[in-house]
Amino acid sequence: MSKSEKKGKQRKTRKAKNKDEPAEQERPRVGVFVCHCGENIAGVVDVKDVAEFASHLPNVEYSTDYLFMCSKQGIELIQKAVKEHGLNRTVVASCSYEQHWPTFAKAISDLGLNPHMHTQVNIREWCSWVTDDKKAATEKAKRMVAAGVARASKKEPVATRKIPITKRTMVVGGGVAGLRAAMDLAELGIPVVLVEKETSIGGHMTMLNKTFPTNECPMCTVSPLLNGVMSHPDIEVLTLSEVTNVEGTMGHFVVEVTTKPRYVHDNCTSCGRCADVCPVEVENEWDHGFGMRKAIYKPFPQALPSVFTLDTKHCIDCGSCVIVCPVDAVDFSMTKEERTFEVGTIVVATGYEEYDPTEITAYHYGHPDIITQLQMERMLAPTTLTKGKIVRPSNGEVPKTVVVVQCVGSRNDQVGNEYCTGVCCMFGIKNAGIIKDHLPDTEVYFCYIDIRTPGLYYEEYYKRAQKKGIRFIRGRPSTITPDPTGDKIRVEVEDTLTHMPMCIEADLVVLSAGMVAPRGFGKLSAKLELLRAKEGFAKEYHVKMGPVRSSRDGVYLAGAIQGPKDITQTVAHAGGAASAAAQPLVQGFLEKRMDTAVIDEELCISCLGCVTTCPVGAISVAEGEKPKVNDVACKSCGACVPACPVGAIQIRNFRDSQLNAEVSALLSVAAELEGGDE
Amino acid sequence: MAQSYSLFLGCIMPNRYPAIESTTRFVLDKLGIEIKEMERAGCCPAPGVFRSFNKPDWMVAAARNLAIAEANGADLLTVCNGCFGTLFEVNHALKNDEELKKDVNARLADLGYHVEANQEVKHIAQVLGFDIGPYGIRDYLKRKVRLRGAIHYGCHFLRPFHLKQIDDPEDPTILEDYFEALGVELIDYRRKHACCGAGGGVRAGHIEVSLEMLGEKMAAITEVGAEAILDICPFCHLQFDTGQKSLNEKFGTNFNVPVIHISQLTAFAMGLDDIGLEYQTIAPDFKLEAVEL
Amino acid sequence: MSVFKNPPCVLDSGKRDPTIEETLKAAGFDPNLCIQCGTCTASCPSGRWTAMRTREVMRKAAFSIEVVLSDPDIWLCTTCYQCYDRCPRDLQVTDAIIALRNLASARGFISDKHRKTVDLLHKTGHAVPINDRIRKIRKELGLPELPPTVYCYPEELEKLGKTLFQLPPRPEDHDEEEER
Repeated sequence: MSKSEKKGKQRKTRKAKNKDEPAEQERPRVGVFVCHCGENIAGVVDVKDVAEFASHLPNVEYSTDYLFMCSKQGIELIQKAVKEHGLNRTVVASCSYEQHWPTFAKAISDLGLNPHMHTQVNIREWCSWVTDDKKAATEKAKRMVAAGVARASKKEPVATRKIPITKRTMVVGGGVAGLRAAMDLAELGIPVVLVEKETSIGGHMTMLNKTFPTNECPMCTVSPLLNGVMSHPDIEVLTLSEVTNVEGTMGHFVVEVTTKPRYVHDNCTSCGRCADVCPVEVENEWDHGFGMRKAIYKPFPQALPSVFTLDTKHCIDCGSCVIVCPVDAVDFSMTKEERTFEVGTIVVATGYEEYDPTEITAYHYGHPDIITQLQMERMLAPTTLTKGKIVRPSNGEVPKTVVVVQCVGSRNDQVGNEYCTGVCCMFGIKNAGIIKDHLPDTEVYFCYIDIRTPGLYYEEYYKRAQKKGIRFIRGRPSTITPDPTGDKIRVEVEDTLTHMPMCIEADLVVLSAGMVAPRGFGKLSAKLELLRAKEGFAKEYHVKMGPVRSSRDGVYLAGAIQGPKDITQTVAHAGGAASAAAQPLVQGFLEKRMDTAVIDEELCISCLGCVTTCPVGAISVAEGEKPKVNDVACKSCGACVPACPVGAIQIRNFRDSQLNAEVSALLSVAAELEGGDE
Repeated sequence: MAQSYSLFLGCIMPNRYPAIESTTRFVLDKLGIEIKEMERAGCCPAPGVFRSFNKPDWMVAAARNLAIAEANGADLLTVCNGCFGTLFEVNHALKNDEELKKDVNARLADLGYHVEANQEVKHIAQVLGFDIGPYGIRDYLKRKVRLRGAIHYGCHFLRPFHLKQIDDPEDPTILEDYFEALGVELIDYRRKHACCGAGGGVRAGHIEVSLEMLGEKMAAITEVGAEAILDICPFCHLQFDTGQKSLNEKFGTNFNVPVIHISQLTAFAMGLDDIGLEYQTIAPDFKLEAVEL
Repeated sequence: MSVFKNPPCVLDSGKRDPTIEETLKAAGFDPNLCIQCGTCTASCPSGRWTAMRTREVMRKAAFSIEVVLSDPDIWLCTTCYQCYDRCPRDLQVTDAIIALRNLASARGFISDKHRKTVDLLHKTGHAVPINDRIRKIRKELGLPELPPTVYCYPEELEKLGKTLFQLPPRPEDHDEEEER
């Protein structure tokens, strides 16, 4: 007998004395249910053989197989077996814990058993789906079932507790996704804190000139939402602000937000006298090179909040703005502000960034006549330097030939973006059409790999652009090069439909750069502990069934941060995220399963290893007492368990004894299957 | 008043397959339809060749034919898909475009004609298959035929669909229903609704290509063991009849399937013994087998 | 040096002759609306036996590549209208081919064989004229030996011949043998 077994035995003798240890329970009577999952499992695993094998395992009273355990008939089969055979534990060998543990746990809890007495064994994702070897798969399924039965035999009932939660949400990101989510939440009566890192809210949508497929003015369509959010009594808008720390869990997040100083107080009337007198003129970031601003500025006339911002990086401290301000709003003494907010849920809506084509050196982005679509949008804005006219930035002349180039930074393994942005065809076609509308005598070429305009009114939009006379060339330019012997841009492309290489001598080239995850999202996602896809976007909980949930409970995704989206999709997605984020807050409480950490006070030596290890601060200690676990805060991560030198802290249903039983069964069955004796 | 039609002869029917003309006249007579001759009419002109060279001239020449029918005061009846294609299209264009009609009439005036485009242009297959119909025709039959026949629609009877709107060109039934009423056992074959290869000036300009297309059809027709090809167009008729001989000479095939026009088969069922198959190039000794009613 | 300035296989977008494109549009085929799906080529009975690719003819025509007019491809269409009836963008493909043929004809690109049919039309009023054998058969069948068509009216025939289908001569540098 090994040392650890002895120790386990010793502990067992004390068990009855400690109310936190599982009480002596009635003899385990386990039922095993092996699911075919149609052909998903049964196509590889001999399910009948597995069920037969399980019937001989210790504590197993009943064992069977069925086509679809999750069907109504399957569930009734389990419930009937529990009643007829007096089962007190169930093992379903089917799919993942995430997928169907709740289904079967509810099935037995409806009969009065504790739901935790159900054990899920995943013989689909972990077994049948990963091999075609029927013999090996069947053997593996047997081992997994044996391990599951051993674990089930040791399981303890665990309580589910209702925990009140903080009825407030934080929305991170003030673009159209964040605005929509904030508005939808506030309209449900949930207080919202909206955090935006720029000086104003509205995001990319306010930079656009027109939106497809109706060619409406985006500012007109979004401004009711902008104004609504700004004036909503339940929404607090924090601009120039970023999330700097996140603590806690779903229902009780504690978020620290840092707000940079604006150096202009909210009593600013936006009269603009400060900017008039400011002697410093710099490029306006908002206009992507197509507009200028002063050191004290508003990025665009309709910007909200309607307050100027002083850019100290460029300010020369001349003080003219302070003198001229009629309401004394300019204040150089303002400082950075840190605030913490308690919120129940968080919506992440930090949007996207336009791909920077610089790295595709063959395209010579950086030449003034080679611009991106976002720059095109700003060129078309009446408030920028060109006053909405389409010109060659190099010389201000009207372009006679314009080439729109698709898939710049999308569908390109070389730059690490395998994906199709899915939006560029539409915005590329939109701007090609607008160029043609503005300049009917200009030849507009549209170089594409595939045209992807799926859905209602999108193909029609494409057709309309074709009707306008845009030349659609199926081919991706190999090079876009300024002509060394002239002022044209040479676009070399094959028209794959005539099999002919061609060279288009362009005056202006517009690159449809794809949508990528925004810079800085790595930091935020780390603070929020979110999984990210390899492309950098936040990974959704499930691609089909959970597109607005993040990988973390209580954190939801709205809009393009989950992956490239157009405005229509973004708004719909954000509405879904708001609804998901509101759901627990409207309910008012969380149901938390208490399979959390528990301390055996008799064993504990008060070394406080667990207290310092716990990543969420759920273990605390009072003077002269043993450490105590806050069940509500504990995330069951198990970090405390190895930190304890004496094995005093355990996770309910993940106790050493329970896991040891599981592992032992796994190994001993292996021996049996190989024909050896134990 | 009895139904009457201006019978448009065209070129191939009177000048290559007169038996189609004689049987058409026989059938119309039995149906009690009066024939008005179209004196001075000429080539339709063919929609493949002549339209391709000069569409406005083609329109004028076609309008002249329409004008002759109009002077007769009876709708124009064609026995040929090509003539139908041209005359229907030009009549339709003139009906729907006053400007065009003015221009065409300006040129027709020099030739001594005037067109109103106030009549219909019909195909014999429409009259038999639809106006009389598979039920109506029974009253006129003296006997039926015992024949495994493969139908060939040709192109310009049903296409372009948005103009003709006679039957679905991808899956028509008008001829199937009609020929079945004459006793024919219909036999389906691959690419049944494909072109015979003659049209569009291809037979005139690129005989080898034209024959290759025909060969593809003939292989399909032969494969299913059809005893005869049933058509509704003298040009397809010419292509199938003489084309089989050319194919046999050129490619060493032994295609030998007689070709029968809808008028010929109808006349036979109405009791006419000599439908002129003996004058045809392929299988001149082929005899239709009658089934007494 | 100038020989090397313009490689012959590069589509020169600057040298677009708008006539061809305008001709297509007038015939109900806006080349810009064509999505090059190939339904036309797949429908074409001629393309099964030749290099004729309806889709490509339309694409080249849209780029006003003149060779479309002198190549035999457009003359391989049997005007069966299958492409026309099936085009998902509802473009009038066959009519466009006819329009291209009209343009080609106006520039003299008409084969000798096709010129012969016009000669027959001018001489007899028919693309396929009567012959002695048929005259005999007509009599046997109880039909008038000669149908009462324009063939029987030489004066009118002459007038028609002078009015209609006066074909322009073939361009001198065009060799018909290239056509097939």
